[in-house]
Amino acid sequence: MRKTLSFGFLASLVALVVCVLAGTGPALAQEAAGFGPAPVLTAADYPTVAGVNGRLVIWIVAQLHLWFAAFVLAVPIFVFIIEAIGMRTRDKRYDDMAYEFIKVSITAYSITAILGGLLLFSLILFYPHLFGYLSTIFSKSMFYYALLFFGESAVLYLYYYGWHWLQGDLRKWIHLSLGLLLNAIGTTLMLLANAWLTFMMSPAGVDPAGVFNGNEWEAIHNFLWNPINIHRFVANIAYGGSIVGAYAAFKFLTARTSQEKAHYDWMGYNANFIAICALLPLPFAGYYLAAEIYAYSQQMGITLMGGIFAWLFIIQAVLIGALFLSANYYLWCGMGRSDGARRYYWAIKYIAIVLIGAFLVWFTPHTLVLTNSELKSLGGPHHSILGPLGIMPAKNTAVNLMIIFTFLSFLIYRRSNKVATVSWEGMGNTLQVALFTAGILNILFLGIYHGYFTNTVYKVAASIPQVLTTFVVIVVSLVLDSFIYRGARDVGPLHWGRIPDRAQYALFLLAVAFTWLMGLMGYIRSGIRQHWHVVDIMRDNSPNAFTPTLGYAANVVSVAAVIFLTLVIFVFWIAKVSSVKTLPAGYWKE
Amino acid sequence: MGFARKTLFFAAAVAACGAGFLVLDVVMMNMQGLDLIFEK
Repeated sequence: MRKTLSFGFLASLVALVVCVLAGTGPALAQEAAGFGPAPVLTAADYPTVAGVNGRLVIWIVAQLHLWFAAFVLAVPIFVFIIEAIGMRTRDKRYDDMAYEFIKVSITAYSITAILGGLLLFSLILFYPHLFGYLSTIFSKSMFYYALLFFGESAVLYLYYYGWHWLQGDLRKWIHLSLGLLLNAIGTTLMLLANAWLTFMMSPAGVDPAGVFNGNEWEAIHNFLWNPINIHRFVANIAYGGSIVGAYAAFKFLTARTSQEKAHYDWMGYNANFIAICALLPLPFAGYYLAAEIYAYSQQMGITLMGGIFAWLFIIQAVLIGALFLSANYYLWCGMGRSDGARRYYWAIKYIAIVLIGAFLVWFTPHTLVLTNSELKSLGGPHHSILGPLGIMPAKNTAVNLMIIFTFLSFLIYRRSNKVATVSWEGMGNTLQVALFTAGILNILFLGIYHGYFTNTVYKVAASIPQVLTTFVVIVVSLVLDSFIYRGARDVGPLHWGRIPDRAQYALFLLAVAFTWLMGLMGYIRSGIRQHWHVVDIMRDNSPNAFTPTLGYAANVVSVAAVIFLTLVIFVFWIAKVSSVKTLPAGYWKE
Repeated sequence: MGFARKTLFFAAAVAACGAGFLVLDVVMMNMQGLDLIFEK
């Protein structure tokens, strides 16, 4: 473990030195001479190293780095929250769980740093002019990024290794503050890296020739920076939750005692809860990002969802549907922990019907890729009945319904072990059903009326009240539920560990679907730049400046996902063996 | 509470919530410079 940690420091050091040499050096020279235009490159400007395809290397390494970075940035966020809950409730189980989560992320952190170093070297080797141009503009932020990385490492190690040392009243507060500091640094690192990639999509602070005006904040605060920041922040939490959920599932399946099973079942439940909490607002963050991409450049927006990449959104819909179904399935299986859950079993099949119906609508394509004979027999590129389900208002309606019904699954799970004692329980329940009914009717009204009987401006605008309706249903329902179940009595003790093994595979599915989804959607986000390194400013003239076929892209992402998941299994295994002790009889002299 | 009263209460609650959502729709569409019901 210590050896891998030192790798992390080494990678930080390398990153710092290289950033200083490659980043700030040219920047200082440029500042003295004024900033030049973006380089105009030819194929000869892209070095070939050992016959390796540079684009493929950057693609896979950047993707692996991003997956691990998302995981290690997310885990401290919910570890901080769980630790705070433990402090508030004085329930040590929360503290132990938070410690176990951070333990898993420690090895992952070293791998993130190593992959970050590898990405940096690969960029310098394969795309030296692009890296030089970006480091001219982002000289200061790259330098501070490297410094912050040191800060992140120091605070993380203090946070992890000081966990048992910093216990007790004041010490625990110091430890919690370290957690807050760790999150502040981690989030700042993410924001800086986001600025560099969004500059490549929506450059700012430069003239049409790419001449930098010297204002780095303007380049950082470019048009797509905040939409990406919000989307990544929320997605990272959902992703981190799903990965630690997979860890808990792995530990549950390999547990030997019922106590161990109970512990990891509880851990898996909490991880799934975190993943669902972040998954619910995620489609809206994604929708906001896509809308902003359209607002910045219609061309880019059309390439994104109406052009070459549109079919990847069908795969996205299938994967997100898999996420929702597996998260719900896990909750339904988890209801078995309570003896009082039988009262709600009847509702599950109806929730499943709505979820599957919405899922089918979500992945119904608008325009089909067809052969001539298929086109002829269908009478056009759109199916006469299913075609209307291919447009965004139908998708928005479907996703809002999926979110509301996933929340309903959570609500019945929450109720399954409780018996309300307030006198107005019946009235409260009727109010809650009325709220859901009115909310769903409103979502359908907005989706159907504005989606099919008004013009495009209305179609897009109606998505905002749809989202808010979902939000209101969730918030008001939670408030109402907390009043109905105030002072409620438990049906009996919850039987942690009383959950079928197949529920653990739902947690694995959640992690795998998230990984694949992030890879595919990340490729789309990057790919919509098409033949530009920096859109409209710096053209990609390498032999690899083409949009590959969807099958090829999906294969690359799948290979990267397999490598990532193999590394994750390694991380889980390391976390497991770190707590195993072997006492070899007769080996050591007495 | 009898069935009829229950149904009446439920219908009133749906109507009240629906009215609330309709206000939300009008405000949100107006904020985007659009009229809710009639396309201009």
